Amino acid sequence: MKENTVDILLVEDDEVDVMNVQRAFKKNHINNTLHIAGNGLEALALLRGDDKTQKLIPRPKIILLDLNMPKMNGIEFLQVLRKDPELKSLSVFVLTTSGDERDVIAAHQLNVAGYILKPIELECFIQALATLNLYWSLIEMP
Amino acid sequence: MNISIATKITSAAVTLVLITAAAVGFAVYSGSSALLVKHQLEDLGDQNHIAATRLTSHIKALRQDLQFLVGTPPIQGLVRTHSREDGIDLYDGSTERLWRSRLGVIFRQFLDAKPSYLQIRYIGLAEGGRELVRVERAHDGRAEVVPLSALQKKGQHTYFHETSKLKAGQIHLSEVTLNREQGEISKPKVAVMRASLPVFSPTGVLFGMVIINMDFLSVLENVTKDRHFYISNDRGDYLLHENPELSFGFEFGRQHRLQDDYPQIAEMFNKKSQLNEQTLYQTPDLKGEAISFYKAFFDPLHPQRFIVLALSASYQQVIAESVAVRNQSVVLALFLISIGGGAAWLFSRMLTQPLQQITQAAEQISKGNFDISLPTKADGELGLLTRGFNHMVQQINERDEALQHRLDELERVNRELDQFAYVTSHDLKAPLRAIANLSQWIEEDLEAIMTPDTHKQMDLLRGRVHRMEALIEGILQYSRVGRVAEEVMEVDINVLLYEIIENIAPPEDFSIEITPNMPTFNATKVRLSQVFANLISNAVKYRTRDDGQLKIAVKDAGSFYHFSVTDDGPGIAEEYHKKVFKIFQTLQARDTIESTGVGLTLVKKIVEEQGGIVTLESAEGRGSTFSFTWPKQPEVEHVT
Repeated sequence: MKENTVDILLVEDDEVDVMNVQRAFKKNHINNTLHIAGNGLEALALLRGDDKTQKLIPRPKIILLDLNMPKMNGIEFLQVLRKDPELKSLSVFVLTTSGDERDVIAAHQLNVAGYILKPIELECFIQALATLNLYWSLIEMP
Repeated sequence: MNISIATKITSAAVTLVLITAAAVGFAVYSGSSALLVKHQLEDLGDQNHIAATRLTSHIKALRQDLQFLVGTPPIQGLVRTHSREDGIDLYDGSTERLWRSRLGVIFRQFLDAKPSYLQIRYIGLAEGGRELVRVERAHDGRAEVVPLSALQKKGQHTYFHETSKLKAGQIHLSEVTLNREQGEISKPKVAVMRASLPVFSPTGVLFGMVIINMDFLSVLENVTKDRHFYISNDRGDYLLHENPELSFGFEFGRQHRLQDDYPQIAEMFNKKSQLNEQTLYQTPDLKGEAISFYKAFFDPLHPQRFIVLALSASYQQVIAESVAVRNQSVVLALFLISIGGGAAWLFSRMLTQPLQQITQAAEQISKGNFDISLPTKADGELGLLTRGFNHMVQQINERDEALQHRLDELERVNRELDQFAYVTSHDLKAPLRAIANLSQWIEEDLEAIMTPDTHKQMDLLRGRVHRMEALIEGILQYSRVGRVAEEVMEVDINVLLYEIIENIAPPEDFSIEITPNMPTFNATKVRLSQVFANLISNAVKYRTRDDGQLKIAVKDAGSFYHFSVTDDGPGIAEEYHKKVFKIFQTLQARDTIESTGVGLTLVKKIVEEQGGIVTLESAEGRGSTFSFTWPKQPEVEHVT
């Protein structure tokens, strides 16, 4: 397994869920830098940079995206992302509690790399993220 | 389409007119026809009577003419000259020749004036009945005096003898015979009656007689037009018959008699019979003719002498008028029928047009087209009906709009509910999961100071979290039934059941029997699967022992399948049979067996949504049988 250095952007409004991911990263010994954005707008600001926010360098190549968020939800964020020529190639994994078919379809139409339902059991979640880590460590990023 | 009302009314009216016309026509026809036939028969009798009167008055005229001629001076002049040798009339000095000549002139003038007379003669008794003067009709029809040398003796003739016996003034009327010339029957045949009057000398001695030969039938020439006309003498011999061979048969030694042809009137020839007139009609042997018989008495000297006149008309002639009346009746009836039918048609059209419009409108409405307006100007019931109908259409339209409005509202509410469910699924679950996660982290972080009690409390905490999540999931599932359309596909129930059982993973010893007749049919697979899954998992979950038995069976129930799931579990007491189908109702504490109380409610809702029913047969301690029916053909789902 090669050393994985890509940065990861987590777009999640729920603090506990953020902690959850961080904890799962720690448990799985995932060392990738994890950036946090509270909603779609904050995520775009971090990716593009604006007068208040410093653009992330290097730009995260993997985004873990919650769908239900204030201001700009996950689907809206994806729509903007896919229209942006610089950002459209980013890999997005949806990480959500919504099993609604409409969300699944909408996400896939926006070319997500995966759609993961947050399991309620912590152990399951840790496992899911371990799998995810294994997955993106195998993938060649552009 | 059925026969329209207009057609029915028209045909009813035509039938009515037809019956009326036929009844009236028949009554008029039968009434008038008898009358008309009677009238025709009377007419026939009258014609015959007139013919007879003409004949008898002609004979009467003959007798008067004879008396007139006998009274002329040359008759006695010749009596006087005849008794003298020198032949000179002492009375005025005329010679016999002169008297003859004078009488010849009188006779000739007379004959010329009376076309029906054939011959007038003056016959003397002397010299064997020698003719004194004879005037006869020449071939050209003119009267001419026969020269002295051609005069004949007539003493041997019957009429001569008969007349010789008469007293002064008495006239002998001969039998009607065929005219003879020199003893031979003259041609063409002429029927002759001879009238003769004796001439006496002043001293009362019979001197001779004057005789007129009359063409007997000449006066009847016009009677026979369009009719068969027969005359017979008082013996019945035909004197006139349309077949010349049959008339005057007795002159040729044959007998052709009227009473032989019409035996019905034989009685008339009985001299004593008072039957002088008779009309026959419609007797079987008449061969379609009506015939009138009339006995005409003509001889004052022999009042019993008669001739019979028979006038016949064909059946067609008799009924001609009644046929005409009948034809008129038929024409009139047809006319009435066409007028009546036409009027009925127009009237029924007028009457039924609004009805037809309403019918068509109703048809349109039944096809879902409510955009209809009807003319309401008609009077009476039809107008009322039309207005009522219009009102109804208007109301339907209004209600339709109201309904549409409600539907829109309902749709909106449904969308809201949808949104609510979505929000619930996410927003209620998220905190739950956070609680679960946090509790676990706390447990991990405080590992060092955790006691068995606090461990158990943490477990309980997370258990409640899971229960809450299950309840939320239950609500979501319940609200999705009927709100979210599920795909209809071909479902092999056998395969479906195996999939479900595999998912549920019952204990190894738990036996599940599936009857081999499970169908394959079109259904909403997801829903049917939910029903089976809930029933089977219930049976597994509430089993009383690990080697429990479950039987899944199917029966045909017409347009439905009747499925049943029978277990040998604890059973459900009668009083809870209704309660188990209510949402969030459980029979055991959730701490004993984790249950949301949504499963059976969901089953009931799904099955009833499909038009089926769920039934429960169970008693405590005797297992349970849950049955449900499912349509063989899926209903068209109305899901927004």
